[in-house]
Amino acid sequence: MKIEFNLKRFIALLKREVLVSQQKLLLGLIINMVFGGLIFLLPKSDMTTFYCFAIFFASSAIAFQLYTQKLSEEQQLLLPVSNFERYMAVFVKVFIAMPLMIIIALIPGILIMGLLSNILPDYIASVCSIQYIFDSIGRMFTTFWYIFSNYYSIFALFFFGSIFYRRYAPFKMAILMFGIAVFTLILVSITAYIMSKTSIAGNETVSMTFYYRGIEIVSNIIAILYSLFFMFLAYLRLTEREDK
Amino acid sequence: MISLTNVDFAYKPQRLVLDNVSLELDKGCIHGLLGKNGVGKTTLLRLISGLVFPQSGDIKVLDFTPKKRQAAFLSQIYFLGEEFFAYKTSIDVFCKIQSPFYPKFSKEEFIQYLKDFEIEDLSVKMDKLSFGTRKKVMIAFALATNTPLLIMDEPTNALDIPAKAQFRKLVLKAMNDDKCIVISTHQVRDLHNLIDNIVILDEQEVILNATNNQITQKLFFGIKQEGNTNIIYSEDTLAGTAIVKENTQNQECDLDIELLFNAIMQHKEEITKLFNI
Repeated sequence: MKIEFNLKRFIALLKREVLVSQQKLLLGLIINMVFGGLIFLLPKSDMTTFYCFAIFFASSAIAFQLYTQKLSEEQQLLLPVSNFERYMAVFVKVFIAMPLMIIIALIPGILIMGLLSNILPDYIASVCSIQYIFDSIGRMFTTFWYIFSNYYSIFALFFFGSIFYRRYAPFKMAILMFGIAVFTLILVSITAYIMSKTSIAGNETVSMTFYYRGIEIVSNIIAILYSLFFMFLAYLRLTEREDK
Repeated sequence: MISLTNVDFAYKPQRLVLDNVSLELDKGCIHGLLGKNGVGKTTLLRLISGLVFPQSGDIKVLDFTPKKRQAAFLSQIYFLGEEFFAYKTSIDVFCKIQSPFYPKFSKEEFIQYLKDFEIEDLSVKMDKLSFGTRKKVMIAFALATNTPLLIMDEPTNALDIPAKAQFRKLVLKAMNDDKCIVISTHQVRDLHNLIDNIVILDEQEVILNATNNQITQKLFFGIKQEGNTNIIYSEDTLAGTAIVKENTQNQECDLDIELLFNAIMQHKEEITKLFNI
């Protein structure tokens, strides 16, 4: 499998991706500024975690949306770029450009919404001090990182699903994910059990710690392998894509 | 330039659209791909451009295998489908985002072709244009890419009568010896005086692939005269009975594509035998 990559062409492709969907992009960023700004100002952190998860989830689940409709798919497939460049453009858009743009939009969003809230009655203004606004911005960075570092394998799976299935990809992938989760759980449990048996026999406390540590290590390794596997499958699927 | 060898293609198993098709198309020609609705004209064009892959057989286009979709290959072909994606950008932005991928694209030519189609305002949004006007923009862009291979599927559909005439002029203007243009249509009159080579598809196979000269050397097209023999096909017209007959006396005549098409649909074996297919 020969991989072609030309930086000049790739940049032109990224520019094209932005210009083709500039209206949607702008609208999305404005909505993010307003709603995201408000959410990150809320004292409860559950909403922010959900918000960040939803952003990554939505962008990976519809990553290859342009390849699901006949006419746009034809345009995408006939564009004079290599399959690898085509794939990388979607990858960069979903996992780098989109989160980065959302973060950049959220910083002024939080600032503006925080400052606006100071115009409101005193009991809200006291919540939104300058210190609190900056703390919220800091919390935004940590939440984004937390979500990405913990759930990347889920996003990789949905990323693959968006090119594998033409219709209802998120639902189909949710079912597949459930199957994978059960399989992984069995695999992890067996491996961790074996690891715990090979540890210091008779010492129950050490053995249980080792058991949980084992689960963590094996889970991480499997998650990384799953992610790489599905990312690679998504690439293969793109190279074999036909506009039927 | 284009070579298909024993190509089979089916959208669903056991339902072949193309069965063991072999075809050679050279550069320096405008090839007209004719056939009834649903015979596989569009599929053949999509196979050539790499949008779909053959079940078996080999396809070579400009020495590339379309299935691999290499950038170097895709930058040398332009496929204009019957329907196309409606960009939500202005004509100018559309040109800006698409042209960097085609090394021989000429913006001057693009603007001139648009002017020839009476489109002057480049700031107008593509999705606000009528389908016919959008098609004119796409044709102008396709011609301006200056790719060695230009494939157009039913390009005259949705064009008004003056635009159809303009289309013929522009295609002839853009044509040169290094180019190959393949136009598929079921409206044969639209291609009158435009194509050099005729390819007819029927029942999953190519039943004719011949230049206009080769056709008129073998077949005579005209109005029935007394004493005419070897008539293969005839039909009544306002001018009299139009006939297609074997050209045994090397008579000069003008090719009537519509008459040829009707004749070959009804007397396939007789005509294909003349061309040794």
